[in-house]
Amino acid sequence: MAKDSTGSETSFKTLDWNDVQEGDELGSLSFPITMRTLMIDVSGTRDLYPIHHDREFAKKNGARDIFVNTMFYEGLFGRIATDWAGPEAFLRKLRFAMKGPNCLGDTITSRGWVARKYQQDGQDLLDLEIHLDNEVEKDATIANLTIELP
Amino acid sequence: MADLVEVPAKPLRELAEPYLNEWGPYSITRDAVTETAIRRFCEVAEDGNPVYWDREFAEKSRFGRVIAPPQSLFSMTFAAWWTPEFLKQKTTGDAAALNPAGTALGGNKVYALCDEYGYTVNTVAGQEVEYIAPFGPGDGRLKLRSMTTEVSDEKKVRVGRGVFVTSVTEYRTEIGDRLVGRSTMVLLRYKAEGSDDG
Repeated sequence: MAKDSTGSETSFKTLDWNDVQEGDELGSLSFPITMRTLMIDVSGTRDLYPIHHDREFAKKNGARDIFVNTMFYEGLFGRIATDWAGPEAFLRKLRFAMKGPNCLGDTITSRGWVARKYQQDGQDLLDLEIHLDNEVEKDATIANLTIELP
Repeated sequence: MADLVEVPAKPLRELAEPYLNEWGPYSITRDAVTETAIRRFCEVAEDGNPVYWDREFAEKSRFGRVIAPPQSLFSMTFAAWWTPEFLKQKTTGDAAALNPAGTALGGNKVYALCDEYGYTVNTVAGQEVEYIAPFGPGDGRLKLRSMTTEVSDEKKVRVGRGVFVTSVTEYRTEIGDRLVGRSTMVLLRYKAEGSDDG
């Protein structure tokens, strides 16, 4: 048995599509945005645009502070999906709207659910909707994902 | 300075028409997709999925090997931070070899037209990515090419005046030339309200 990121035991089981219902909830993830988070973000996603690491630049350009980038969201939404559905779920589609930034010092809290369950081209699919809130803004980021289960 | 700029009389959409729906040239990433690059991406959102981390687990999974998180596709094609001159030339040469003579300029030409109209500022208005097949170490580098599919009429927007340009980018593996992803992006190209530089 291994441990997942929340410290609980996991068997790395992938969900059976037949057992999933529309409306099922994905559980909530809490992710604090610290300076360390933002440094790992720059390094891991290779994004040097200063609005994500230069506080003066960010504030001069109208942001509350430096904030996580597009690829951070890609990584986070993909992670939330496979943390819930299991390692053999495969992300098929992703789109999201950044309505407000998640800045240094904020804590992201996620909410998500199964919006649609269907089969298409021989694939067992689920559409997921995931919202990210922080202390300043509800629905700062809203994502729509499609995942395929084995 | 705005009165010194001659604005072409024809609508931008009409001028862009001949360049739509034609693939532009391929470019290729400097580096192959590696386990190290995958792990560094996974660290960002603390993604512990074992098919990205653990060979033994991944080989027994339906993927049969360690794969990259599909959602890392865009990050994996991000420009390198520093490259020695000789390698830059080699990578450019590798990309040129993928493009037969006479490859269309496609999207590049549309963006040049936007610049001529003073629509020089970029903002992403929307994006959707489809992940068509898994990719990972063993697939070599990633090749990508784009085409512009749509240019809107000129519109007054909150930040100024501009056009919405829709483009599609295709991502393929170097080894095996497999299509692994396709992204559709709507970019707002605009001239900020009150700006006099273009």
